[in-house]
Amino acid sequence: MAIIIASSLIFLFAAFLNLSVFSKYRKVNFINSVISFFASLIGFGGALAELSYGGKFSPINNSSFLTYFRLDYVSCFFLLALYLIVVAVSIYGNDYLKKMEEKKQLNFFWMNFHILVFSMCGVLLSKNAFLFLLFWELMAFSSFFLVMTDHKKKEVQKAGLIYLCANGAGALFLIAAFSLTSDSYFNFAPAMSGSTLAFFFFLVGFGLKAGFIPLHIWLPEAHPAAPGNVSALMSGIMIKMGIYGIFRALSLLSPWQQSWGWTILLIGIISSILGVIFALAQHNIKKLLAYHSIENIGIIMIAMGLGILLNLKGFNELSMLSFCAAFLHTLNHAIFKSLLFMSAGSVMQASGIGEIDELGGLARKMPQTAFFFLIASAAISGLPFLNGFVSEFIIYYCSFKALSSDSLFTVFSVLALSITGALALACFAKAFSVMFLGSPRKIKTESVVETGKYMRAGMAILSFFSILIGILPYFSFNFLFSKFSPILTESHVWHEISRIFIFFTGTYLCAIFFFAVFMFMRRKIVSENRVDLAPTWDCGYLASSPKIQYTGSSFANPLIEFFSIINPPSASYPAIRGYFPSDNSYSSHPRAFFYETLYKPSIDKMRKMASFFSFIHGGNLRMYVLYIFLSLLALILWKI
Amino acid sequence: MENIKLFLQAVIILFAAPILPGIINRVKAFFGGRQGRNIFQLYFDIYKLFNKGIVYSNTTTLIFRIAAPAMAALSCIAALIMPFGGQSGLLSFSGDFILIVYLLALSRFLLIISAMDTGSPFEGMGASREAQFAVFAEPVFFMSILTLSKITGESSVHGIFSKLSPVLWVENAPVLFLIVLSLFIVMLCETSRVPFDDPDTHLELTMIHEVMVLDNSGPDLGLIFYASAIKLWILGSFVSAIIMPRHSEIFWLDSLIYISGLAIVAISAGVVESVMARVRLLRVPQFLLAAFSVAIMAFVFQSLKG
Repeated sequence: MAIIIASSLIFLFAAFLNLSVFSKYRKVNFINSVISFFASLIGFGGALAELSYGGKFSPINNSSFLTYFRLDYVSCFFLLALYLIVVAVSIYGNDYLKKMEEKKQLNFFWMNFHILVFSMCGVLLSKNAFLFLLFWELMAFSSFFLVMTDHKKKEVQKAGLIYLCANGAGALFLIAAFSLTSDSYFNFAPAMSGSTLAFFFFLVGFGLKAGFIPLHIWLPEAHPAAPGNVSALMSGIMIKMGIYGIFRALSLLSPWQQSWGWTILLIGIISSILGVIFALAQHNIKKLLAYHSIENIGIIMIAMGLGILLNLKGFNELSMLSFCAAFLHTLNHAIFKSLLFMSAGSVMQASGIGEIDELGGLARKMPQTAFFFLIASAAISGLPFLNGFVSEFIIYYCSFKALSSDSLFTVFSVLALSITGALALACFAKAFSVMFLGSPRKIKTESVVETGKYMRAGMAILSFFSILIGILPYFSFNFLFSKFSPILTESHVWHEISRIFIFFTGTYLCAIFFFAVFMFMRRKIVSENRVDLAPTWDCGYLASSPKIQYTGSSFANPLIEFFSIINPPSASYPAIRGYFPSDNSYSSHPRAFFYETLYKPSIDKMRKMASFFSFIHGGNLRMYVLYIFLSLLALILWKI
Repeated sequence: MENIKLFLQAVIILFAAPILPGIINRVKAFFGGRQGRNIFQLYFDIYKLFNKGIVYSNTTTLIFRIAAPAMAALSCIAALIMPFGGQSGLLSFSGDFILIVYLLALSRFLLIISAMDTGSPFEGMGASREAQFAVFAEPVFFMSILTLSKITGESSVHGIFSKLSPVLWVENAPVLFLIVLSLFIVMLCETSRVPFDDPDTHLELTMIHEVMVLDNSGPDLGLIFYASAIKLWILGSFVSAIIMPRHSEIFWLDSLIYISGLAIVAISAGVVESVMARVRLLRVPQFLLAAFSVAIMAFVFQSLKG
């Protein structure tokens, strides 16, 4: 615990340094990324040690300090994910922010970055509702400033406002919920009464941070607005604080109700399927990734809902395993989503374009970035060899194992996962191939070069962990979860899943062997014959142009058409007049369905109602003093 | 002895798979009143392709070059997990069909991105359709396996197959019939047969699987043909195991039953191909949704029974 506290204090200290010493210094960016890299490396080491030795590493015991903070398994797991992402993001930031540094001082940016990391550590460590909320708000504000880095742009301002509102609303719900579940010293305590009410307050409060549907509206706004490394940090780990919160809330509230499990499960199913359908329609790469965060939060929620329902049905081991899946998917999603945002950020920085349909052919210019994006795409689609498959497999496994006569929910979770998986595959096949493959569409690739080596190093770290967890699931799973719960580790289920994971590795090795054999065969044959290079086959039509290639929109169109009942895109069709129609244009835009149909009308209504009461705050100071006096009077009268 | 059997199984799967498309072609020829191609034609085709050079499109990258061997390797591995007759596969564990489905999904992912790699609009079209149909086909497959798993109480392919028996058919005939129907439809869709895709068509605009490999040539094309034959073997095995439930403990007899079951599946696919026209592309999702409702019906019947 000491190591982790030390590393989080380094972040706090670095934030103050930015405020004072560094403000005149020129190479702020380099120094800050180095500090952040080493501090998070220390923290990562501490979390690893804590996870494997469990408690032996903490010299501070039984002191008063521990009445406010604690480091149990859950905190430790999330800290591990947090520090892993921060290691990669901070080394990435060194190159990424160089261009920005030419224009302006980055003190303020890095100060907020450090505070964000510090506050997330605080959220994960605090055991006291008051402290928790303090860190929670600190996290909200520092991330708000990070989102607003490009504050002169109109869309960034809009995104910032929406994000701020979502944070504020979430905090209000949390205050209400904590008032039901803490003792008189604000320490977390199991709820005495009204636990269902508290549960729903927690769900909304944390849900606004985690961003499941329908509380997701800030995600697709804030991520495109923020710089690439900030999106990676926010989408990778900050939204997971909402998941952490829901998990903590569940441990405070008892007994669990069937309705909670169903609520979480249904929210998860809706978020995962709708999230990926919305993502499919996006033209902007960062918006697409933001919707995929919603999808993956949905998958985590499915695993949690399954965990609760299985527990209530009496499948204790499977319930624990299902929670393991939720945790593992949290870590996995942190890894591959940060990787995706970082590689998307590299592409956007190198080309200056964020529209998928304008890119193309970048794999020739940026082969390494393309590789990292490919790894992350395959991982997020839940394909074998990579980490996404491991956690999704566990959810499938739990569902199939609990398939008794009255457990309809397992059917729902299996179907949701399979539909989501196939849709995510379509979506990332689209994103990867349109951005990196084919010939360049609108972009001029001559000037595009591979990104800097620090950026690549940051991405390489995360790719390494993605492949590691994917190929050696047995070791990673055992390492991460051997302390999870004795109910699980001593059960039959644990042994079976361990055995399955060993089989996974064996299967992958066999597949690699077969692949090598086929490659060798081909090389043997082809070396005797010729290899020719020729233009792509175009059915004899020789004036091929990059314009006739399939774009992302055309690739996704059949699916978007099919799901247009749920998410109709707004399209403007050209009017064709006369015998010889001249230049014409067609455009289609995905709509922010929930924002436009649910939030915007109600916000407009609220504005109208508010204008009724505008006479109350007319700006007259004497009136305000009167209000204070009247409310005090009312309070006194009520107490008497 | 067991090890020899396992090894023999693997060899049979890897070498016998290309017969199935040959059977389908012979059935089609029979219906068309032709003599038809040799039943082993695919072997000759693959052999011929392996003796040729390769033409790569100059828009392609490394992905295009590794896709074909990787797809073949993934399909082979998926086939080795499948049990053979009543015997367990090389690898058998709880939930192994999930791994099979996802290995095939990875091979589909590679096929799609390698098609997009060429920058050809036709291949883009095929890739888009392949991605779209999988979205509807995968849930049908999982729904059918869920029901099977519920009937037999097992959660591995080997477990499910070994519990299938004629007695089970007597007790659950309607449910099993519906499952066979939906799995057969999934098989036709995933292996790009009529009514979803016509392997004989020669108009690029209407093709799906064949159009995605327009730019593959030589050994690569041979590997892709081989991979799709293996895929047909894998998906056909599910149908075959249900329609011809094993009822002996003798290895040779079981294997014979299993392979003749596969032959029946191939013959039925050939019959479907001969008597049906391909459905319009826009109708394919509806067709698959119909299969999905059949699968759900099977599950509901089973739940009501239990």
